[in-house]
Parts: sequence; structure tokens; C-alpha cells
Amino acid sequence: MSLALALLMAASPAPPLSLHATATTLDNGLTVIISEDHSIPGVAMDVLYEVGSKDEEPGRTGFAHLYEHLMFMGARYVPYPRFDTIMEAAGGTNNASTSNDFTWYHESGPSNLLETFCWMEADRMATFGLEMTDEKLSTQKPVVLNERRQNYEARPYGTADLVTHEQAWPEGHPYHHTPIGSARDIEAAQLDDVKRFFARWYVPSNAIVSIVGDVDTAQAQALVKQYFGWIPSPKKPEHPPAPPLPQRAQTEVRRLTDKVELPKLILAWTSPPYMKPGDSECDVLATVLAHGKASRLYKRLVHEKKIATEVAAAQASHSQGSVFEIEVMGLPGKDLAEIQKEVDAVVQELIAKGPTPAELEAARNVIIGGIARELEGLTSRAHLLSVLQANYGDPNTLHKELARYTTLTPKAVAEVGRKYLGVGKLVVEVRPEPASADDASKAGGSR
Amino acid sequence: MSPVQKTMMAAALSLAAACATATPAPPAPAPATPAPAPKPAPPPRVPVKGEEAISRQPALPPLKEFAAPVPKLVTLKNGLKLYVVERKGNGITAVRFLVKRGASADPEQKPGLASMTAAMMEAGSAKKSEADIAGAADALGAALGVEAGEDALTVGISGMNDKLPQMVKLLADVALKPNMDPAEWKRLQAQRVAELAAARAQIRNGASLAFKAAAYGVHPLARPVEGTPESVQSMTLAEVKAFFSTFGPDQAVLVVVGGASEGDMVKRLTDAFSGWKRSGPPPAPPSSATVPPERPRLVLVDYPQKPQAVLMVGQPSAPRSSPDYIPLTLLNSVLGGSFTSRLNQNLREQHGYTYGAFSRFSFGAAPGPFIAYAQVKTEVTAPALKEMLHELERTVDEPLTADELSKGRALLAYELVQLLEHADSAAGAMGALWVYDLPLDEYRTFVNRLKSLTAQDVQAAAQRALQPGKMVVVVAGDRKAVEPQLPREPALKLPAPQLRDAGGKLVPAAPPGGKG
Repeated sequence: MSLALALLMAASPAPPLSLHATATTLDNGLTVIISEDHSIPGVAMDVLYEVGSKDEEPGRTGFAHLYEHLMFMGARYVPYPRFDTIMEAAGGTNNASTSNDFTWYHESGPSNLLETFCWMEADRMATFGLEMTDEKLSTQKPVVLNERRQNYEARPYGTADLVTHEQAWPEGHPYHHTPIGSARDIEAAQLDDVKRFFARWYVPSNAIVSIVGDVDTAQAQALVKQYFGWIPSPKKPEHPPAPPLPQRAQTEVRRLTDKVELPKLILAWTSPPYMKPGDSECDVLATVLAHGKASRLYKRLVHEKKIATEVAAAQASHSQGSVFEIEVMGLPGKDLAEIQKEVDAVVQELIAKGPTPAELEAARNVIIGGIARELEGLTSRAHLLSVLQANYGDPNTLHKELARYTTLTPKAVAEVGRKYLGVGKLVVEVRPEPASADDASKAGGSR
Repeated sequence: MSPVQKTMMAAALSLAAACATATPAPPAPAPATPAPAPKPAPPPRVPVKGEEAISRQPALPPLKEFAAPVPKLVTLKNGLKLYVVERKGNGITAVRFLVKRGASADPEQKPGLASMTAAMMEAGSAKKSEADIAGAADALGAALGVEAGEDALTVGISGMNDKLPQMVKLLADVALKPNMDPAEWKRLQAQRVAELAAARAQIRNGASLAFKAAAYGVHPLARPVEGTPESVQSMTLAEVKAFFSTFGPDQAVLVVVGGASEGDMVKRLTDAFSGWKRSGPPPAPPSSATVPPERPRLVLVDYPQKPQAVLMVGQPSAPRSSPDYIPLTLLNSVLGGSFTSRLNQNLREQHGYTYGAFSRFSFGAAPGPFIAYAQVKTEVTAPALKEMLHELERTVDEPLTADELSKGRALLAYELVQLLEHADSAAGAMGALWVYDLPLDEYRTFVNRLKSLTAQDVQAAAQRALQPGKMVVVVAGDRKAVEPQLPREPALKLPAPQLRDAGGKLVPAAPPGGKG
């Protein structure tokens, strides 16, 4: 068995993925990463701050993300709404995201925008908090509250996502609340909160600037130094350590109803932190269980038993701990208990014996294929470089990231599965609300 | 939990080919006359040592030229055309098979036939099971999918460059030799009916189906691409097989964008596809139905107790072949296709009604719809609608400013670069050239054509394509909270609503005094 596996692995070397970048650190602690690619006349910049929803103060859930929105409300030399108008006038676009651990801002556009990107990002890194006003705060609060309504409150199963998150992480853990936060806390945010967050977290020593595209490395480094190098910075802020995350001894069940047509089952287990031992095994378990139509859960629940329309699984990894999640959308009227019985059986089989060598190889190729797609575009490549830097302290570590997958064995995957999925879990059941009597659309509106 | 974002406008490229998309993507995001920001007293200025470094806006160096690829056209002996783009790219190859048999070819009583045919093509081929085919793609680390859009059915595969030979073989199996297994048919039929039921819970889906039905009447674009529960229930495998048997080399194209040599890519595609022949009779000519001249003004879809309402305002506009394609695309960029667009600046930034307001033209073989879109807090439905209609009226009443024109040009020019940056979207763009009978150098000449446009050209195109006073206004949300608001904005001048359900079907109005 192990010999056969060794031969199989020798026959399938890691696909030829490579990524090269130059990393430097400015005197103020800012990390600068440049990677040239002259295939298109474009440039992408990713500015990642090592701060996320886990760093929010009590009573201020959702603040890191609200702050991200505020960052577009203008700083000293690029006042609102010039950040967006200057950029779009020259063909550039931007967006930003906030997770539990990180907040990142990214722009892309014709390569002649490189210096403009540097100027605008440096302006807000240096002066944003100093130029903050109550008016700016009150402009973005309703936008964020609408984002919350659109993505959670008004979206089918959106409430279940919030409940799952808050139940998966115990009270007192910095991941207990969601990055979107509570509406009440978003309303409560004050000008002083913004200024404090700016002074503590939005400092050069806590940031990574990654630039990918049709640029000259030396010239790009000089521009970053010119625009960012002068910004004063305290030393890199420390994150308070998160308490260790217990696994569940007992399975806990939460039952919800929602305005939906199909029943849905969500299972969640506590799993290893990002890049820590067991994390990549969990990625493989998720892929074998639910990636596509060859996956075990799809074959059993959708194809064979015909009780579900959709299955999904993911190892949602973060620096302080992760959640391994399975979601199943049932066919109308199907019993969630029967669905869970099948899911449990499939998980048990997988963690008892591990994936077959062919399954492991396919899962590995699916995951590495996903990384290859991240490398394809300038924007996602710039972000990948920031993430490699944040986690390995070096952007030229793609080989390490790939090795996490190419070195796995079925036995190791099974062991990790038993350790993390063989224990108690969170079960969230969502059932359709009974049709209400005055619901005209369902009753046909004939009364 | 996935990260939360500044805006959801990502990837909503207005140039993207519509033909491979089964469900209309949410309209691209965008702004309004950037109203001057409120000018409160600035906070006391705290000097920062060294800030001279950022005190001046840098000059913009000259823009570099971008030469968009022109695909090489090869015609195989069976008449099948190949569009081939060899490029260094970044390691990914995409191959697509497109046949001009999309939802617009569905029989009137059988919406969803093309889409169910696509589903059956994914459910096992060349005597291999659905799981075996999917497993073969996984083993390559490739992504494989079959999808019916309005104008074409697409089989696509993409993965790393060195997997080209295996990917082409798998693509040919799926495109040419589906098993059409009866047991799989029964399962997929039940599954689709359930998925259509599930989709009813999404406000945006309900709004979209109601919009299509109201704006297009008996035209094929009125019907849902994925079908209705009734149409799918009544469909037979024989109908699916008959639909598939009309596919032939004279109606199809193969597109490849990848890193192998042109000769190698041509050879592999030729080996796999040159023996293909149509197995049944040629397809019936396309529907001659025309877009109805009249349409309802106001359509309501009730979603009781939802905290937000979806607004969709629009009308049938222009086909992809229209000479107004470029001016309308530019207009859209300024109106609702960018973050600083008039709609987004007005509804999101100025008024805080929404997370984002966008607009989009879905150009197709037929005059596809123009739609302006926003999901707003229920309580502000009427004022948000007033602002949206105001912005739409301005597009025909006033020319773009010089700044808007120049911004639209710059944004579209770089959207083209990004469209061609990824092998998958580049293959989609090349496929659209064939589906819509466009010249091979369409993308190469795009930027120059864009440059020659004037604000008058754009306004004239807007006046030909858009009649804001006659657009369909769809509001999907809590009817009890929405309906009483509308008369409070007299400027809206909206008539009594037509009611539709979450599947887009007409609902008889409740008698006066009736409940709800």
C-alpha cells in the first residue's frame, strides 16, 4: 500500500507553478513586495493591514469592516470622493475586504497608475484618522447596514450563517462575532473609535504593500519608498492572544426557520488554525467530501439517495482557529434527520479509512489548480503575495504552500479526520417557515 | 465566513459576453453626477512631519498601448470553426465548445429545454458516469461545466497548460457523446424542480423573472432560461435528445486560449472534433416573435416582511449587432457600471438607500434588456425609485460631461484588458465574436472606436435605446410596506400595479377591500 502510494506520488510531481517576488522592509517597518509581469499593460496593488474583526473592542462588533468603508471617505490630500474619481477617471478600479484576521485594499488599472496608487494609499495610511469627521461616519453607517440586510437579513439562509458563526465560536473568543457585526454596534460607532483604531492598527509596521504587473522592480520600490517611507510608525502592534479553542464534547443542535423553500443542514466542527498541522488535511477532507460531482457526499446524497440538491464543505481557516463546515440543501420535504444520518455515515467512512490514493491525488490537483487560478490574475496574485508574506514572513514561499498538499498521505488525512471530525459538532437545522395566512403570493392572492 | 466588502461590483464587466451566462448576472454596479460632498468645517489640522511627500498629485505617465488578440480562424473539413489564441498568459488554458442553441431556441411551451440539455450533458458521457467524468476533471485539476445561456449552449473546460491533451479529450466526450441516461434524467428533472422552488426565496430572482415576463410578453426573452416547474415537469428525455440531435458543426465553434503553440492546439482540436456530424435534422429557424411595443409600467412581487426591496427598472433595448453597442456600453459605464457611476453615487453615497446601485445592458442576438438595479431598505423604496428614475431621465435629457465621457473611455479600455487577462473570460469573449457574427478584430479595434465617440453620439444612442417614461418598474419586496409609499411620491406617477408571483407569473389582483 505505502509502496504503491509512493509510486503514485512519484508519477505525479507537483504541477509547475512558480511565483517570484522581491521583498524589502522600509525603515518604518512597511513590507514592500514587487513582482513583475509584462504580459498585459496593467498593475495591481494590494495593501494588507494585519487587523480584522478579531481585534474589535467590546460593543464595537463590525467596526473593522465599517472602518474599511470609511477609508474611502477621504484623507488630507485626496478628500472624498477623489479616491474613487481619480482612479476611475484613469481606468482604475478598487475594492476592499475585511475578514476575521485581515483588512485588505486593492486597486488595479493601467500600469501608468502605479504612482497614483502609491500616492493615494500613502495619503490615507498617513492622514486618514486625522481627517475623520462625524459626517463621514454617518454617511457610511447606512451603507454598511444595507450591506448587512442584503447579505444576511434579506438573503435566504443568511440568518443561519450568522447563527452558525456565533455558535461555532464560544463567547469570549475573538472570532465569536461575525465580521459584519451587529446592527446595534455598527450604529454605536463613534469618531473616537475611528481615531483610536487608526493610531493603533493602521501603521506602516502593520502593513504589507504588494505590487504586481507591468512595472520595473527598482522603480516601483523607489516610488513606494518616496510615498510611504516617511510615514512615522510605532513598532508593530501586538494582537492579544486568543484563548485556545475547545472541541465540542457533545453535539449541539440549533433549529431555525426561514422564508425558504428547501430545508438545509449545516454541520460545524472546530478545526486547526490556518497553516498549522492538520489544516491542509482538512482542505483535502473537504474536497473529497463535497467538491463537485465525484465527491462522496454528492454521490451518496444527491445521486444515490436522492435526498439533497446540493452539498458543500470547507475548511474555513483563520490564524486563531478554524471551522470545518458541511452544508446540505435537502430536496423539498426531506427529513433533515435522515440527511444527517447519511452525512454522518459518509464522514465516518472517510475518517475511518481515509481517502483512496486516487481521491487524494485528485483533491490535491483540485486544490493546486485553485492556486494556479489565483496566480493567473494580477489582483489575486498580489493578494496571494501579501498572504504568503503575512503567514510565512516571506513572499517567495509558494513551494511551501504547495508542499503542504503534495506531502500528504491517506493515513495522515484519516488521522486528522478522526481527531477533528470524530468528536462533537454544531448542528444547525433550517426549515421552511409554514406559509402565513396573509401571504398573498403563496395563497395566490385571490381573497 | 467569507470576508465582507466595500462593494459587490467586482467582476461585473459590462463587456463580458452574455452568451455563456444562464442566469443574468446582477447588473454591473456604478454613479450619478457626483453631487458635491457636504462641506462641514474641516477638523483642526494636525501637521504630520514629512507630509510634503504626499502633498502633490503625481502626473500620469502616458498610457501604454494594448494590442488585444485577434483569434486565428481555422475551418475543419466538417465545417466546424476553430478560434485559436496562443499567448503566454499565466499558465491557464481554456477551451470552449459553443453551439448556437440556447434558451432562445426553446419551444414556447418548453422553456428550460436548452438548460436541461446542458444538465444532461454534464450527467455522464461516452458511457462514463457523471462521477467518472467529474472525477476525470478533478484528477486534472481542471474546471468543467456545461451551461445554456440565451443564445448559446457552452461546454467549457480550463486548467493548467500542460493538461491540454486530456482536457480536449474530456471536452469532446461531454460535448459530443452524452449518455442521456433515463435514470439520470428522472433525477435531474426532480432536482431542477426543487432548485426552481428554492430560487423563489431570493428577492432578486423573483424581481428578475417578473421583469422578463413583463418586459417581453411572448418574446423568447420573457421566459426563464432554467424553465418553470411546470415546463420541466412536463419535459421528456426524448425532447432533450431531439434538441441535442440538432447540434451540428455549422452551428458550433471551438475556442481555445492557451499557452501551447497554435499548431499544437489546432491539431488536438482537429483530432477530437473533425469527425463530428449532426445526428438529427437541422434545427427549426429561430422564433420570429418580436418585442411587444406595450408593457406594464409597475409590477409588484410580494415578499412579505423582507427588510429590503429589489428595484429593477428597464426595458428591451438593443441587440449586440447594433451600431449603438459601443456608445450604450459607454453610457452604462457612466450611468451604472462603475463605483462612481451616477446611480451608485446618488443612491448609495449621497442617500444611503442601498449597498449598491447598478445598471447593465444585456446585449444579445435579440434586443436584450437594459436594467437599472438596487436593493434598498424597504422604508425608502419610493424615494429610491424617484432618484433612480431621475437618473434614467437625465441619460436621455442631457449629454455626458467631458469628464464622464473620458472616464467611460478609460474604464472600458481597461475592462477590455481585464476581460482578456484570464483565459476563461478571454475564451468567453472570443466565443461571443462567433455567436454574434462579429469581426475577428473586434477587440483589436475597440479602443480606437471608443476614442472617436462624442457626448452627442452617446446621447443620441441613449435616445434611440431608452424611453425612461415607458420602462417597466419592478418592485419586489414587502407589498404591505411598499405599496402605500408609492402615492407619497407624486412625481413617480405610477399606475396601479400589476402583481406577479416569485416565479414571474401574473397574480389576479385582490378585490377592493380584500385583505393584503
